[in-house]
Amino acid sequence: MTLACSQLRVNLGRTEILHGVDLSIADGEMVAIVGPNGSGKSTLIRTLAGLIRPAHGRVLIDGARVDRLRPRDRAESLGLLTQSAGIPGLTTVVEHVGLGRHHKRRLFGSWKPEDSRSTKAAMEQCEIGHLADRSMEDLSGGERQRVRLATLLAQDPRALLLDEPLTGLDIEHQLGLLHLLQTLNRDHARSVVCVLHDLDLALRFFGRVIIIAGGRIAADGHPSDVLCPRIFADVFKVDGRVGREVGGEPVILCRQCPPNSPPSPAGVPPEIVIHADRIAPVRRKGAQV
Amino acid sequence: MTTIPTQPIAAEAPNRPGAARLRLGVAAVTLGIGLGLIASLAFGAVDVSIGEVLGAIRGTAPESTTRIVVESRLPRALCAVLAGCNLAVAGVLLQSVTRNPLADPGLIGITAGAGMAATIVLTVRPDAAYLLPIAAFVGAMVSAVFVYAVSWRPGGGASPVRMILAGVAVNAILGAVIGLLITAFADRIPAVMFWTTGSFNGRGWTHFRLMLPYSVVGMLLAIGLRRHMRVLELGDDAAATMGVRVERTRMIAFAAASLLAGSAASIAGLVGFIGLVVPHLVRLVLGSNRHVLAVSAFAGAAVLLWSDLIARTVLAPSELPVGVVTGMIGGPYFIFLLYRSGWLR
Repeated sequence: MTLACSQLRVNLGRTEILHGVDLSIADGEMVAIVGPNGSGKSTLIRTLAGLIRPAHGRVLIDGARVDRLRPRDRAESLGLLTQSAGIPGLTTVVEHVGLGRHHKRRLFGSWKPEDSRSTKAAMEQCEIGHLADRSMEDLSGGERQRVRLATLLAQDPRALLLDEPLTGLDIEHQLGLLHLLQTLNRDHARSVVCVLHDLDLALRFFGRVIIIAGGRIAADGHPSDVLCPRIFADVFKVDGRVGREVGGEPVILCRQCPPNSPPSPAGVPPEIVIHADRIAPVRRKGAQV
Repeated sequence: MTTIPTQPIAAEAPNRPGAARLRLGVAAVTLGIGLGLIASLAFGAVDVSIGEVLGAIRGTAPESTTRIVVESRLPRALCAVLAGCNLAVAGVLLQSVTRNPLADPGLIGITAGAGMAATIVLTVRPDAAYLLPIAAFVGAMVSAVFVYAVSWRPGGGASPVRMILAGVAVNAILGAVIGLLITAFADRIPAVMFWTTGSFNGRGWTHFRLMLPYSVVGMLLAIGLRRHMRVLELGDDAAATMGVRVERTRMIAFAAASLLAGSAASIAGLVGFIGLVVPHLVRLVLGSNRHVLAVSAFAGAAVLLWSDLIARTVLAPSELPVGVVTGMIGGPYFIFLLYRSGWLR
């Protein structure tokens, strides 16, 4: 499934948030969208999901306009984990996850064994089986986030769009969720598009990183191509680098910056160091880390 | 993720929780309606025995008894059942569509529209009281359409917050008009007050038949929407990507609630409490949001049926407005339930 947009301009109220974004996400890609607060990441992912009508340009799923798909077809194609999902009152975890099967059911259709199997599998994947009969209102923020992810998995879309899915999760479950996304991407051919703030995790788990700044794509490519001192300085306003300690000295690995470009003034340690040993393996032919 | 020991998840899990409480709730409302119907047919200004009630229904009782039971009490009881059903379901729909637990037909201006139209008839044309049901229904519909239109924005639809704000504003405007009419026609205040606090006095088969088609359409829409409404509670964004047409669902739910509440108000007047409290009462009993729509429908019917029975028997041969009974008995009982369940502790 290909998700693409060209010259996408999006307004929220009278403010233009995205200023002409061109993007194509191929089937089976695992993409992280990163950028500073207010740069337009969530607006981009909501527009890709068909929730915001662009002022200019269009979003296409396999060539079809996302805003013209029937809701059921759109739910088959893509699912979204939002930042602002509500917590329905007096609803148990298993009921919540079961809502993910909504698009599979006809108007007066009954609950089928297949729905039960998908719900159960999604809960087991997210390790919330022991919470099945707990009320959503009684769960911690992290547990609720895992329930929402399980609901998304029960929906079983071909592309998973996730807007800051790590919010509220402890480090164990952050890594667990990202490993799960990797598994879904690798073994189940699901495309994954994920808005993140943690650059280190973006490097470790995603084969492609899109950096958004001021409503435009500032960089797009393999992590080692796009996360460099220039991007750190220009986009994130911090002094940072992606490097590896060699003989006690940091070696800059970024291929866009001159080899000897100093990441920070002499003698001043950088604010951010991302260790290149953990960069996600390059999946493009011929590319190297 | 790390391996956490998990309990087995039942295959039928989404249908499982709260089965015992559901059975209790269904049994209670079924018993409430059954006993309420028998009592409504038997008790009144003239008491009729159970045997005579059954005889009247079979057509073997004396004509006078048949007239009391079949022509007077039965349609009145069925009007109460249908109106209670309508108001409770309208409450469930509106609380869901606005994501506001305080929403009911009164909050978003539907009953105020009915009230204003009825007040116009009762004050300006008191000789045309036969117009009351139609006028009240039209008033409720006009008010509902106005509230929806005011809360609607191109591209954004009608948001829950705008719906409530528009409803509050419409309530204020219509309340002022009603106040103005009452002031101008002070000698007709008793008739207006009696109607606006709700009553089934004199309601017969004509009224029941008038309310029935709107009730059936509203109920069918509500049943068709029930699963969409549950997904909508997750938020507009989540619902839209899970296969729900958010704006259309909200509009149909609002229209269904307006039909149900408007038709109830056209026959019963302005009966408070049912639309707001019955859904919460049912949730407290069931401990779940599942089946709230169906159980609330029957619970609303039972509550209004018993309220009408009390209203017409407690001071017989005089009658209390039914809204007074629902408020005076239902309100304190609801506070008791809230306290017992821990919500007020």
